[in-house]
Amino acid sequence: MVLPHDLCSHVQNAFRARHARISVPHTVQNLAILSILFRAGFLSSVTRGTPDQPSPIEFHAAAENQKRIWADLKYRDDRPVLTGMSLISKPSKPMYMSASEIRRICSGRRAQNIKPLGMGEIAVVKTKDREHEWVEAREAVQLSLDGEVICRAR
Amino acid sequence: MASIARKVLYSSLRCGRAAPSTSQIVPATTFVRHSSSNVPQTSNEDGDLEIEGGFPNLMTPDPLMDLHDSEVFPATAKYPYESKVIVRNDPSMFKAYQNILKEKYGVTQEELDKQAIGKETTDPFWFLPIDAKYRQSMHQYTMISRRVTKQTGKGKIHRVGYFIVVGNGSGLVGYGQAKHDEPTVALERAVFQAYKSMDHVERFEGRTVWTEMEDKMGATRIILRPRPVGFGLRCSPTMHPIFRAAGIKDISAKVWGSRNPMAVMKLLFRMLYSGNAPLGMGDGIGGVGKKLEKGSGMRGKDDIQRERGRKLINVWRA
Repeated sequence: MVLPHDLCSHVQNAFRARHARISVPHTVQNLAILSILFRAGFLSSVTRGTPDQPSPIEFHAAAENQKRIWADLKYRDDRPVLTGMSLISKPSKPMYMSASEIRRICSGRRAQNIKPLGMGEIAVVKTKDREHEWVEAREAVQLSLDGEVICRAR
Repeated sequence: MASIARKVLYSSLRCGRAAPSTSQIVPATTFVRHSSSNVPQTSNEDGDLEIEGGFPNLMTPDPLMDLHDSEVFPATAKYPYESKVIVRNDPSMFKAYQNILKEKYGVTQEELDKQAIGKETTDPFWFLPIDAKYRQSMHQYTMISRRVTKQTGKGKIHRVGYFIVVGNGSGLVGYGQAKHDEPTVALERAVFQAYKSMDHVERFEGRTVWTEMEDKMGATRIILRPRPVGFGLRCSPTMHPIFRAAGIKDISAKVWGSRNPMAVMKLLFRMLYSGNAPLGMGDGIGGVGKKLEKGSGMRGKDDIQRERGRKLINVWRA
């Protein structure tokens, strides 16, 4: 299992290098985190594809290890929309929070030594819920879900 | 972010042509500075603004201001379209204009300005569109006034240095530094620089910063935190006047590392302004980015909503 850190650094570096789009391996984790970024407005589109190009049709014909997810990056006024994306839960110290603790970091107070989310900042939470497994921090608060707080993006 | 302060302050400046007269030298392109009270402005029957000498004709290209270098790159195999790169104002048209004045007419811009104004003046604010009454209504704080010394072979040369902060108490703030043998002259120049450098500060509810901010410049590190109504300015005495001048009323601020006043103030200004750093900190042309313009600065909720195309919703403490 590849750590979420891989995706965090890939996305952050691509934005800083002003790339138009990125391609990452097709895994549930990557798809979930990129969808949350897309819903939050950091990416313009998330598509399935092959290593050559984003194409949902050719995706089906590709082998398992040749499947990719493509994400189009967003820029405005010559500035990247996403300035930083970093891990919260690390292998050396996993971060599991209850719903009330997640609500604390969403409302500007720290919990478990994790800095609160600033204005416009999001956090990705992985829960044990079967229907809503990967959610954004504020969605977890609304659904009253506990989970592992994976990463933050601003 | 566009500098709203500069638009507000300079809105009454007119880049027009001086009234031609036989005693005056008028080059084809004239960068003439007027103070607001001296520009002859009238309104005609339709309510349109008229200016003495007329507005410049923008339909014909001006040899100085519209001059540019351009290069056309033909289509290649990899990129099948022709592309053109246009570079404007490099080298600066103002420097080119000064050279033309010197070589062709034998005058300097200062002499032309004095002709336009029509009187000799020692007021350093004569060509900024603000008067003494406006200046009295502003916050002005002398942050540093000190004697600086240069040791030469002939002895010590003493000068006075000032660091002034100026602000209108509701979103505009600037700082200026100057040194001179005479304190009065140094103070005037510093205040003038402060007014020139004024820029807009984004505030949440007009009273505090938007989000927790942390920044570092050299060995100085500052953390700013937004706070609720009535909290007050809980910060170091160096930062307090700057927040007062900017119109920030509630804040929690901490300086870590070096507390050198100059460094703290300059870093604070860099954090408060909305950011003027060029793309990738230069050099896409125009030079390398400046340390004091680094960062994206403070950006409000509107900016973030616009760039993401999403609304930011609050999670209330239910």
